[in-house]
Parts: sequence; structure tokens; C-alpha cells
Amino acid sequence: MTVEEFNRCVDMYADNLYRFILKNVKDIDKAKDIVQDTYEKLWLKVSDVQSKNAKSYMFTTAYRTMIDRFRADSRQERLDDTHVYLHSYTKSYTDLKEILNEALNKLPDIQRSVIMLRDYEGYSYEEIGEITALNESQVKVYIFRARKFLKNYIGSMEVVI
Amino acid sequence: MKEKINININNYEAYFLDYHEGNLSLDLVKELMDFLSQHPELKEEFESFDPLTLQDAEKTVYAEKEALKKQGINPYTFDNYAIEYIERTLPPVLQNDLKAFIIQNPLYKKELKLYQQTKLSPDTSIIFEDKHSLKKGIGRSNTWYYWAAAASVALIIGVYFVLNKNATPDANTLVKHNLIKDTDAIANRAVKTIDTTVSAQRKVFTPPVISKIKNNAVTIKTHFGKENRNEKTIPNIINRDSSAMVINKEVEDRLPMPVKKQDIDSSLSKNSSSITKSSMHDTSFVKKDVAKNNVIRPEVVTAKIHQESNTRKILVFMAALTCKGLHKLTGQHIELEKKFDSDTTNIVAYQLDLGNKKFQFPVRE
Repeated sequence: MTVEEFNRCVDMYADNLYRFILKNVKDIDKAKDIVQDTYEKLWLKVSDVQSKNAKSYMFTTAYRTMIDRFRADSRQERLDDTHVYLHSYTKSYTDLKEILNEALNKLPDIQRSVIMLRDYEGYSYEEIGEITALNESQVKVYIFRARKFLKNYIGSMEVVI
Repeated sequence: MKEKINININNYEAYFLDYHEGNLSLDLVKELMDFLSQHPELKEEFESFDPLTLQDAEKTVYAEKEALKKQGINPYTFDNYAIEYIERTLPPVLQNDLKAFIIQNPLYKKELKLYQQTKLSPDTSIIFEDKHSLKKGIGRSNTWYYWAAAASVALIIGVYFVLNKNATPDANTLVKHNLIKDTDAIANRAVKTIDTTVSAQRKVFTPPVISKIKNNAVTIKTHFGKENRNEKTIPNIINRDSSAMVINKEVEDRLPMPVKKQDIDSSLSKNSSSITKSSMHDTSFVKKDVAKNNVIRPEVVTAKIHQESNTRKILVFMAALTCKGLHKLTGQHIELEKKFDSDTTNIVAYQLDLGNKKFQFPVRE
């Protein structure tokens, strides 16, 4: 991959990557940090990674970096004896997108990741498996569960509304 | 049975287990209770031996067995089909089955709609604003790239003009600078003569000038008005072995034909001039002067040719170096290539390759 292709990857994928990570980590600074880390790792491998594989490489790297951060944060929280702050607030939903976004945040991390990779980026089960280090069947199961949860959540919110 | 064995700290586990399994006699039960009263610290362990009974196991059932069966679409399997449908992995035949099922069971229409609503779409308002910081090289932004590209193009075009200017110096400049010492007198005399005879029409007639020197050949031009241009190339005129080469009689014969009287008359009549026609016909002075006095010194000519060649090489080298530098800095493909003539292998053009665009600059001899 040339410098030009690398820079083109920035223009093409930085937003997608940032969205994906931000939705998972829910922290702007951490999300930016992971995106920057990912591109730095890509730059180190710039001569090895082909342009056509760059997107997949970046999502894989970003996902694994994110998981590593989760683990590190989890250890840090235990050390600090701190508690996860939970947002508890009432919200009036105005549209389906907000409801769906809320439901997405309630999904287990792995289900949220796979369904976002599926819907946001259009990856196949196999590709998602490569990114998340799962096999294809596991990916399918997680997507199935996520869809069912989201469907039930939307259904319940419709009743409330 | 373990009735003859006293319970102690080394074997109590076996008695605990037998007790919970109902294998101890009443005496041994009594002995075990006495042992526990003596060792209260083991009471918790004794209670933990409560065997796991499987009596409730049969009450635990998998409620979605029907969903596992391959028996077409039904209320139990609907979710699988619906999800596969919105995932676009449901075969067309089964899609028809699903639609038929929904028609028969309208309540599931809403369910399917809810599933369709679970398709996520990215929030395009979320963007990574500082993309610039992720990019590498000086050409991090388009602005830099375009400036670099524009600079390179300007540079190459500049070099091209410099090269061509050196390659084809103005004829008069050549006369003045290359052969000034020897031909100045000729030119001055020629112009002066013309001035006195055709002063009003000076621009009509100009003396012969050496317009080009290349490969031992000299090209001489004579102009007589716009309509009468005469150009002749005399090959092998420079003898590199001699210290000086005089255009002799042989050369004189190969010079351009003198301007003929009728040409002058024709030209003057067109211009309605009052110039004395008789004084105009004798233009052979130019030929004679050139023949007699035009001493071309080969060392001057050769030095000039070498100077042009070296200048060209240096400028091309600088341009190529600049292109390489810009390529490194911007990552954009920028290359200066030479184009050769297939027959003579001479350089006929320089090509600026910008990847998707190419610009050719022909080299004028």
C-alpha cells in the first residue's frame, strides 16, 4: 500500500471505524484514541497490507484494540474499587432510531459488535468472524439473538408510546 | 458396613457419604453424630455432602424444541425465518412460504415489520473530524497535494522553456553572441547598405543570418519580405580539425541563392515603395561578405553546443530530482520521463507523468 492509498483509507474509513468504536466504547476520547491506534498499526504494516484488505484489517485491529482496552479498563476498575457509572435517566423517545439506539446500547458487547459490523459495514458472517475471532456459526447465533432482542425492545417501546 | 471401624479425622469423609446415601446403621449414625459434636468445624463439610438429587431434572425442559424441528414455518420457527429473511439469507422458496404464512396469520405481519426495523443504519452525523492527523507525509491535505502538483508542473514547464530557448537561440542572437567578432561587420555592413538603399523598407529585407548550427551543419536564412523566405542548410561546414574554418568558394556556391531582382521588384511594387529599384538588385554583397569574411571558429561553436548540452542535462536532472522529491513527499505519482526517437535514439520529448495525467513537452532542435 502506498502513502497515497493509506491516506485514501483515512478519508474512506476513518468515519466508519470511529462510529463503530464509539458505539461500543461510548466514550469519544477512547474512540478517537482507538482509531488513531488502529491507523498507526496500519502504518507500521503499510508495506504488507494490500489496499483492498485495508478496511478489514483496520476493523479487525480496532475491534481487538477495543477488547484489550475493555479488559484493561476492567482490571483498572477492580484495582480502583470504582463502580461503573450507570446512566439512569428517563427519556422520551421521539423516533424509532432513538429507540433502536437505546436498545443497541443494552445489547451484550459481542452482540452489539457483530450486528453493527453486519448492518453498518455490510460484512458477511465469515468476515465478521475473522474480525471478532469467532466462527461463522457463533456470529450467526449472536446476530440472531441481537435481532430478537432488538425486535422485542422496539415492540415493548411501541406499547409504551 | 463400617461398624467395627471407629470414626476419626482420617476416615470421616466415607462416613459422611454413607450417611447421606443411607448406608449407615443406627449405631454408626450415633457414632457419627458423636464425632461431629466433638468436631464442630466439620459440620459445614458434613452438610455439604448432601447428595445432588436429579429428581428435578425431568422438570427442566427445553421450551423451544419445536423451533429446532425442520418442519416449515410455524409460530415456533417464525423467528428463524423472519431473521433469515431480513438478513437476506432465506432462499426464495422459503421466502414465499414465509409470505404465505403471514397471509394466513396476519398477526405475524407486525412481527416481521418489527424485525425489519431492527436493521441498523449508521449515524452519518458521527464523523472523525481530525482525519488530517491520521495522514502521513507532507501531502496530508488536498491543498498541499495540489500546491505540490502545481509547483511541479510549473517547474517542468519552466525547464522546458529554458531548454528550448537554449536549444534554438534566436538567429540574430546567435550571430551576435556566437560569431559576433567575425560576422558583426558583415551584419552591420549589410544592414547599413540596406539602410541606404531601402531605408524606408528596412523591415522588408534582412541580411542572411545563421539560424542554426548543429551536427557540423549551418542553416542560413534570408528574408525578403514576408513572402520571400529562403533557408538552406549546409552540411559538414565545420572542420573540427582545423583551428578555423573559412567559408570558401565551395561553401559560397552552397549558400542561398541571392535574392533576385524580380523578387525585389515584386515585393516593392506590392508595398508601393519609392525605393530605387536598381540599387536593390545587387544583393550579392551579402553572399560575398559571408563568403569572404565569415570566419566561423569551431571552438566557439563546439563550446556553445557543449554548453547547451550540459545546461540541458543539468536542468533535466534537477527537474527529475524535483519530481522524485515531490513523489516522496506527497505520495502522488510524479515522474519525468524521456521519450526517444526510435530511429535516431535522440530525445524528442520530455513527459511529465502525474499518474492519471501525462503532459508531453517536445524538444525542439
